[in-house]
Amino acid sequence: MLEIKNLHASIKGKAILKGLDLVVPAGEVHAIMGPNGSGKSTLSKVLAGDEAYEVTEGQALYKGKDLLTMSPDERAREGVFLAFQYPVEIPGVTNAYFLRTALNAVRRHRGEPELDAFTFLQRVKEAMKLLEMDAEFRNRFVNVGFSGGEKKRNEILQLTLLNPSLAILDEMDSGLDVDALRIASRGVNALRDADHAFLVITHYQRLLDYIVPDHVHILVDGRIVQSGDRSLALDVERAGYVDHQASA
Amino acid sequence: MRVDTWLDERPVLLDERAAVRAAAADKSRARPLPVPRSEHWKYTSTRAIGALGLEIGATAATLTVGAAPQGVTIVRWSEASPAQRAAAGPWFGRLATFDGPEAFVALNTALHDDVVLILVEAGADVADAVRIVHVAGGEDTPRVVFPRVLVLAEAGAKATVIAEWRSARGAPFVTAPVTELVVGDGASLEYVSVVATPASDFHLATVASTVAPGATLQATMLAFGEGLARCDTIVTLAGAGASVRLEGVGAAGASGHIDHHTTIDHAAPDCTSREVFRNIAGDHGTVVFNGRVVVREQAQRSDSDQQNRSLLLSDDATINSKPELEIYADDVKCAHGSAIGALDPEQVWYLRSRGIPDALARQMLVRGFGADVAARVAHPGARALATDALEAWLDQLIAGGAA
Ligand SMILES: Nc1ncnc2c1ncn2[C@@H]1O[C@H](COP(=O)(O)OP(=O)(O)OP(=O)(O)O)[C@@H](O)[C@H]1O
Ligand SMILES: [Mg+2]
Repeated sequence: MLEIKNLHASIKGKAILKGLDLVVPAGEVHAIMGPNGSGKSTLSKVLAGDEAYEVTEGQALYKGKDLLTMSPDERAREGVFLAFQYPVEIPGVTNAYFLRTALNAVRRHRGEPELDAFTFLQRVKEAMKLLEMDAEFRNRFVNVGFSGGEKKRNEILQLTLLNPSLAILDEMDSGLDVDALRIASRGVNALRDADHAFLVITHYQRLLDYIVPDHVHILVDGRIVQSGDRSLALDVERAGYVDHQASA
Repeated sequence: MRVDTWLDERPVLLDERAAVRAAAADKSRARPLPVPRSEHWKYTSTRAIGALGLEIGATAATLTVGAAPQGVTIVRWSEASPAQRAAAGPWFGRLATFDGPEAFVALNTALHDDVVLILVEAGADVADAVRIVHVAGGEDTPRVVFPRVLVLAEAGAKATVIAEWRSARGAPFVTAPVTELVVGDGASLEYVSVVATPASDFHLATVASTVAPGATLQATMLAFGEGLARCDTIVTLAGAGASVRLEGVGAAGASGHIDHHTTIDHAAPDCTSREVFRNIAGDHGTVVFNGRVVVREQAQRSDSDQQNRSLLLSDDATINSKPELEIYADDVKCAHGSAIGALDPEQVWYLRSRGIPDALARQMLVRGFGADVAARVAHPGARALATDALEAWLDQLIAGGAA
């Protein structure tokens, strides 16, 4: 699904990713952990196409295609989704209008018919029910005045509706209370199958109790310095990144 | 403009309006157009109007008023009963005054042919909106009209008035309306004005209102265009505990020039004002917002907030935004904020990250920029009208290559 080779990226001339290698096959969930500022969000934004970042070297293939030459909206239509660590507020645009426009853009690209207003509403209602979101969030402006946890839930709502092949979740657990974490994870797990892949960025082992990863990677100073199974996450929780910092 | 001839030829009125009209005529003879580059007309020139070779038109041909819902009487001054004229007479020309730097209020007061009176009975709770539609243009020769409206919401009444100012295009057309709104004790009036001014046209409007004790005015002023629109909105919070929510959007495309001048006058204690304006300028357009807030010495415990945001969609577009706060009382809460910018790249990126193409993302954001103003219109029908008008106009602005 995703193959990253020797990826280097910088922002405003400052190198953040410094030769990152990562392979995420279809059907798998990979977790990325790492200290603050190590480049986790940078990796996720570079993969999603944030034009603020400059890729200076390396490659990222998505389903065998060169991901880095596609525009951000093209990537999304091709099935790449980033759940933002800090979702953006968009005053004046209702959540429902936003979701429908996004969904229809993706559907058109897949050669599926656009959803009419009624069918769309049914879908949203279903998804919101699964995520235990109040119906009023449909008519509110995108993320405006949402609490931290509500914004995160709204990200998972988009994930559920758009049904991407590759989902990158950047700290979806931050700001979520215990119940919300369980509910949001349920939304993610519902999509797990042989055709989907997930890149889950987190600081805490707890999320990985809900979304159980196949592999765990440690990102330090712009590179993957260690990979392993889920027990690696437990090691990090216990001992921190001290050893990894040294090896980086 | 042949103002002197028009004044000489206009019919003499021997009714409640006579004295005000005479004073207005004197002023108009002395100064038919605003003084160029005076403080009040700093950003907007009306010089082009003088050169149009205008004929004066009749509002009977351009102004239509919808049916009166229960609790509302709509009547032209020329057909009003003595009682109706007695009710409206004391207000006529009292709110839209012309002793200041204004010129078009004086012209209208001196030259208007009739007045639409909208009388809302005391205590009436009117669900259906009263709708005024003015269609300018559609003529072969340049024309000017002076529509005049007076809304009188008696004590405790609740009503909505929608005024739509459209254009049929054609030869240059100048519309110079004056609207006076009287919101009686404890009454609640919603007023929604939608002005669309094509490149050939000029719209020079004044809406002046007074809000009595415990009464509420909610006014939404939308002006779009590629021509020239100058909209003066004056609200006097005249009674203790009165409140106003004044919102608006000014949007200009092509070489359009849209100018909102507002005055909120806290003239009594314990009044509240909330003001939100959004400016959007594309192409070579200019949008002006001048928001004056006055808090008089006696207006203790005034609570006012003015927020103005501007969106520049092209390098050739211009925005002039100016708050003017004059505070003479000491125990007051007055906040204001003003920001000018382009579309937020973070927002564009967020939408694109969900598969929405760049052009559509920008369109959504431009639409969204004014959408909250339209969304806060309380009356459902008026809200739909405001939303549709705004969307249509902003789409046109984007299609014009602005975003
Ligand atoms: N717009 C920017 N301008 C300057 N520096 C930036 C910018 N964005 C990110 N950085 C820097 O890049 C580095 C990596 O940031 P990134 O957000 O990828 O870290 P992270 O691993 O996600 O951290 P956290 O765990 O705190 O979320 C940091 O040092 C950060 O300050
Ligand atoms: Mg981060």
